[in-house]
Amino acid sequence: MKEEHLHISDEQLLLHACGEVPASRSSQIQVHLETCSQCRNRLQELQSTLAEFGEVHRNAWDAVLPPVDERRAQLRTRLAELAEQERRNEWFGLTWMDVVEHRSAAAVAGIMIAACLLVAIRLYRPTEGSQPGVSRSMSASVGHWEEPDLRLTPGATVTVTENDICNGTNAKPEPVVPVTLKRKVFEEYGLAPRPDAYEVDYLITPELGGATDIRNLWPEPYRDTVWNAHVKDQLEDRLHQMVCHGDVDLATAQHDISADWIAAYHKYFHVSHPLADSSSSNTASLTGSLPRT
Amino acid sequence: MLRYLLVLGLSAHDGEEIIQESFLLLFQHLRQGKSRENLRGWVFRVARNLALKQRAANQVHLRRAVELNEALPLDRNPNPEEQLQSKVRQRRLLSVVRALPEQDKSCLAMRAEGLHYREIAEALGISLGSVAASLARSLARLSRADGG
Repeated sequence: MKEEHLHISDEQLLLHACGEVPASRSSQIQVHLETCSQCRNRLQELQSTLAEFGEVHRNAWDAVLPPVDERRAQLRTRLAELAEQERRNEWFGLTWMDVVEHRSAAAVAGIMIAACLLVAIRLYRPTEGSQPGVSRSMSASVGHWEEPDLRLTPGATVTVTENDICNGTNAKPEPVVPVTLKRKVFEEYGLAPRPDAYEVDYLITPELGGATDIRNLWPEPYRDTVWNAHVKDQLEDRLHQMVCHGDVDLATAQHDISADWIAAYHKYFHVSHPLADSSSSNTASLTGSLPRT
Repeated sequence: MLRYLLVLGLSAHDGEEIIQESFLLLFQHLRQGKSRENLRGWVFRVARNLALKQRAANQVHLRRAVELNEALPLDRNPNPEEQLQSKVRQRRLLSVVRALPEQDKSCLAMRAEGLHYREIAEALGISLGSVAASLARSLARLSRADGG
């Protein structure tokens, strides 16, 4: 069969045009194109359709794009803040390394004492509302907020009644927290935005009349802690059921979940640990879909 | 990138937020000393993932894109007759794109944005061959719609 009759497919033509076929195949295609006007025309047609579409696409969307300057400035500020935050973290890291390198006995002793004191304070601090042996909120000190900082997130509600909540008018999926608000929540907690690791969660769930308000949102770890977002979901479902069955009144449910949700979990489930191992579940995690780089 | 996110059916506001988020993630990615290969593909991929998630959450789907497309302004062509023809053609091409499957639409929009095949492949997590096949399909449809 003659080479001229084996026309090149559109895919191969496109790949060839942008230099994405191996050199040996590329030279075969080149030879073919020199002798086959049909394929030459086809390639030209494909390229001109693409170019024309590109123009239409840009014209069409440019007409509705908002101005970019303000957003660009905003991004610059955020990047500068992030860089500053990381620089500070690095500084702390260096100080530690410095201390270790120079074997500064006094400094090491001082740090050891401070560490011991911290442990002692933790061990002997009364664990209000929790059962003995239950470790809670420790991870807040390393940047995980099992429970919110109540000064930042005291909880906020909208005006609803048991009827609204239980009759289905409020039984919609949780309202989506706008990206801007999520970012503010991360900023407020001094965390870099990590949608893969934290759910910006409602302290008082909308199922119980919680408001989409910064005072009712905090970055809750998905899985790095025992008391995580999945465990809290169990409590939210439980409280919603109890309110609707008349076992608990709405105000009490709102109060208990916002004052100390882990204590509320103990209270309403009568257990000291989460019922199932929810820490390994991984709903809505972004990391899985990020490129492996 | 914002144009691409609008093609996916996001509002300009959500698109802008996602771009900010994507670039902050890119910054962290670079600061952590991770791979610098194919960064344009990487950042489009992150933005696309965030966009699909946001879109599912908003349940906006393509309605907004359709509305925007239908409200497209006339281009800056001085001759009214040519202007009308140009607009009709623009709409015809864009309506073909709207009807394409999600992946084909993404390939075409990213190529129109000047991304290389490798970058598109990275952004969508597909092979170079799939990118080329998708573009070939879409271009054939566009040519047919254009009377070509």
